[in-house]
Amino acid sequence: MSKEKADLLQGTLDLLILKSLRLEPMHGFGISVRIRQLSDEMLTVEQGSLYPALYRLEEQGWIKAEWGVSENNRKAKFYALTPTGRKQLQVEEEQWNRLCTAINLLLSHG
Amino acid sequence: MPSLRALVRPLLTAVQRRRREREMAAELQLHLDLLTESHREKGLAPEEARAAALREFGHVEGIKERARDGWSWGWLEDALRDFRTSARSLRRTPAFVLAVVLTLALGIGANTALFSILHAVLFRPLAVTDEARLVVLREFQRQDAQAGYGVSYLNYRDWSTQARSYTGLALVSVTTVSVAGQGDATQAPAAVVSPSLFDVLGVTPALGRVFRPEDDRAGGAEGRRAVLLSHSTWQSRFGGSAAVLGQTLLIDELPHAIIGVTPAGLFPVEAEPVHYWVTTAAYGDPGVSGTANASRGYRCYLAALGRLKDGVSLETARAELGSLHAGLVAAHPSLGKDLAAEVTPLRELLIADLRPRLWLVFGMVATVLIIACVNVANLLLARATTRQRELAVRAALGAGAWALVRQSLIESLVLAGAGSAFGLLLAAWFLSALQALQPASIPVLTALGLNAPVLLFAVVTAGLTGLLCGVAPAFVAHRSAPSDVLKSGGRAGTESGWPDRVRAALVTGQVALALVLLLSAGLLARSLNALQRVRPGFDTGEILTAQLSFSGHRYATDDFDPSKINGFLSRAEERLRALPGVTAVSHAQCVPLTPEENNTRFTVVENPSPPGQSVSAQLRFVGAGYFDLLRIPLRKGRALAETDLPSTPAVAVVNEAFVRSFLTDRNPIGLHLKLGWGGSGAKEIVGVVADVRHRSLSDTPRPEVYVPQSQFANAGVTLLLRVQGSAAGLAPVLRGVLSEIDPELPVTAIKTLEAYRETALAPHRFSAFLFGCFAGLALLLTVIGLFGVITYHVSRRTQEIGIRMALGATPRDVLTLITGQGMRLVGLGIGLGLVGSFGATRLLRSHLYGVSPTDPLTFVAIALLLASVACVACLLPTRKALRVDPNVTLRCD
Repeated sequence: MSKEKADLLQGTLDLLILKSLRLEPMHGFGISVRIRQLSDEMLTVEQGSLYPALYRLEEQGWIKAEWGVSENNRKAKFYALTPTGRKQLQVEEEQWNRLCTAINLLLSHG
Repeated sequence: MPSLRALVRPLLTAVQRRRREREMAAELQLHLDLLTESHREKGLAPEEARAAALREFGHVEGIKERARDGWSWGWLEDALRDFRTSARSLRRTPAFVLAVVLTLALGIGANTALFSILHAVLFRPLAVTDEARLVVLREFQRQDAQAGYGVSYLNYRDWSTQARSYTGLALVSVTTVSVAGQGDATQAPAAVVSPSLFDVLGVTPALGRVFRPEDDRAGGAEGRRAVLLSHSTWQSRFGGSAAVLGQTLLIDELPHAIIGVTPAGLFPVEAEPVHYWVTTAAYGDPGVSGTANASRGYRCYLAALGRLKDGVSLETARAELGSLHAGLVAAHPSLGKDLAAEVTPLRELLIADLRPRLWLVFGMVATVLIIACVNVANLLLARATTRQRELAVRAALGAGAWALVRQSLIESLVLAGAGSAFGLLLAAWFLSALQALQPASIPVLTALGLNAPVLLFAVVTAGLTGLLCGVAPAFVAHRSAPSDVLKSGGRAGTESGWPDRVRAALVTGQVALALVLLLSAGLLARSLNALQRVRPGFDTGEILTAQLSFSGHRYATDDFDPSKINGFLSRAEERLRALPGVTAVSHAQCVPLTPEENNTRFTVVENPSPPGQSVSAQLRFVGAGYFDLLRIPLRKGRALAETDLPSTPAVAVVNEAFVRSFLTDRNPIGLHLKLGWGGSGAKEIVGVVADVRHRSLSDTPRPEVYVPQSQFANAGVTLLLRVQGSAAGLAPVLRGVLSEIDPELPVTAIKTLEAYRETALAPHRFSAFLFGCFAGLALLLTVIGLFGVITYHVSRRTQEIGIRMALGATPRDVLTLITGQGMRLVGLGIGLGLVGSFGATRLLRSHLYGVSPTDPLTFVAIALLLASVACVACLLPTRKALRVDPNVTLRCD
């Protein structure tokens, strides 16, 4: 059975990446798996969007990358939240919640 | 605040780019592998799992491409990209690039060359310790400017015992000595200094030792007097050998021991004005009456050099010397109450004469550079306007305003960089040409070169030029509203807005600047012409001169008996008169147009000046027949003759300037003069001769007194020979005759009088040449600029011209219209330039002779010249436009 897939709202990818890194550093594949799992298979991240986003976030200083060893014993690049990244996550979560509230209000009055 | 990291990071990322590529490939590969694995865990066969993973993953290179966008390479990559874009777009327009680069190369090259001169003259430090604390102390006559500056030994000695402002004082003078004992006998320039000089300068010898106080007496420390060699004399004449120490030289026939070598490049050895250094003992024992050092009124030294103590200001030193000197004048009334003393910083003195001329020249080349910049800015502006469509498209596609401005600036910087590279080549070439042409009066020019500060100057100039040229076009780029430009089809139909107005203003300014330069050059050329026509009062025809020096002891006598020197002279002149082609022979202490000066105080016995006031005149020792030989007309009385001998009454001849200045109301003949030197007895004035321009061609004649060499044995004598045919060709014969009579007598400077005249004209020729070159350059650049602007203007109005002609305008109408518009700009520029010139050419006043700084003839002629050349520059492009068929112009786009 295939679940319906939600379209990823523009700008939310950053939020999802930061959120999935909140607990532990992960490599790119792990992040994509984590997002799929956490969203109950509703959200999938295209690799073509994921890596540019990762590099952009790294450039902005919200995440940092380190080389480690993956579960299949391969060299892998692990991404971790930086302190500013952690703050940014909070900001983005609040923004998202406000947006959701606003949209829900709008819909409920419709 | 931008941290160092932020500046360095772009560079690092550029270096890291390859590493990041590698890492990205590894990261994506890992992702693909893990994806494959996850499919296998779901039970797919290995190949199927891989295929599924690849399907899901998507196009790897596409992902990489998008991922790279996430990387930021900072300004460096932007700049490199812009640079590449600029280079590409410039390559498409080689003619434009050539025009711009050549224009900038000329402007930057000229400026770099001139800066190199300015740097050498004004800013290069002397090879002494802490030059800023060195000052020069000199005495001068308040009321008598031509008496000149100097210091007498006794006054110096009193200053140095009483002054408290200095760590040390030293005397300096320059003279000519005969040198023998090692190789050929020669005459050479020498410095006469007190032993303290080297302490004051703070320099140490390159070899041996410098003078000690005990060297400064007739006997010297080692039984011989002491002499120092200048560094280059040591190298050239003594082979740079350490064995010279202790060797004996005969300086003015006295044995001197070589005790050391001064360091290379030491002041005052700029371009080596002196070859040898001797102590003040050379001017005699101050304790013996009659020597130069014993005369308190004889300022036989150039100056005293002092080093200010730390914390002592120039003002303090000036005040102190002022009161010291007032005391001296009070104690020695014979000095006259007009005698004053002053303190001047050394550097100021060294560059005082050159500074105005050099700044003038620098102002001139800077103007040329501005004109060049204006040209380039105009070209870039025209280019930017025609590229408005391209810029608009780029802006519409998302390029930011800053990106467009940056692109434009980088383009002009690239051009300026190329221009300055060629400019440096031009500067190097120009400097070597300049050195070939330089007047002897600027000795520092020998030290010219493209050194580090000069290169830095060229780089900074290039940067500024690039920015200056790029500003206007960048502004066009900035102001392009994409929608307007795209709607108009990328070409404005007729006159359009401010780029055209800016262009017009630039051309007007350019014409004005060029006019100022052309006028300056015109005035200098007229001045040179006037100088060349100057009748110096004597005939410079075929006359050969030779300087002799009798300063040695073989010719000297205790009581100034001239018989030995006169004996030589009459023997030499007798033999020379017998030479074929020689029509007259005479002699003089110094010939006209040589820089030598010989000032003396005097009193007219029958008409004494009030006590305390002293008057002075130039004293000339000449032989019989001197006036005839130089064709100097006799106005009254008689000339000096063979019959004026030591045994006959002392006589003198004065010039008309002397009579005008001092004896207006009396008949000078029969009056008597007492001179400061040249024989103590009163001399009867027996004649008056016409004035000559002795010191320089532009100088007004000064009061002069001629006395016969035969009555006073002056040691420096110049022989004069009037020759039928070529005077220069007789030089070897003259040298031969002199060495037959006395092989050891130093003979120097066998030159024609015409050669002296040429030397005197050289600085003026140099200025006129320099200004002529640069004004020509300015004219060329301006004409090119005007031509370019009109061509561009016409090309943009081709359609309009076509319409006009289709509607019945004659070619003549169109020609008048377009040329008229161009000439309005030119007229305005000339008007502005004329107004500006009234101020600017005043700065030239001191460089001009026989022409006013606002000479109407020059002003009118130059304005007409500029207008007619500009008219041609306007006509040519317009005529080209007229040849185009209106049908074609109307159909084009």
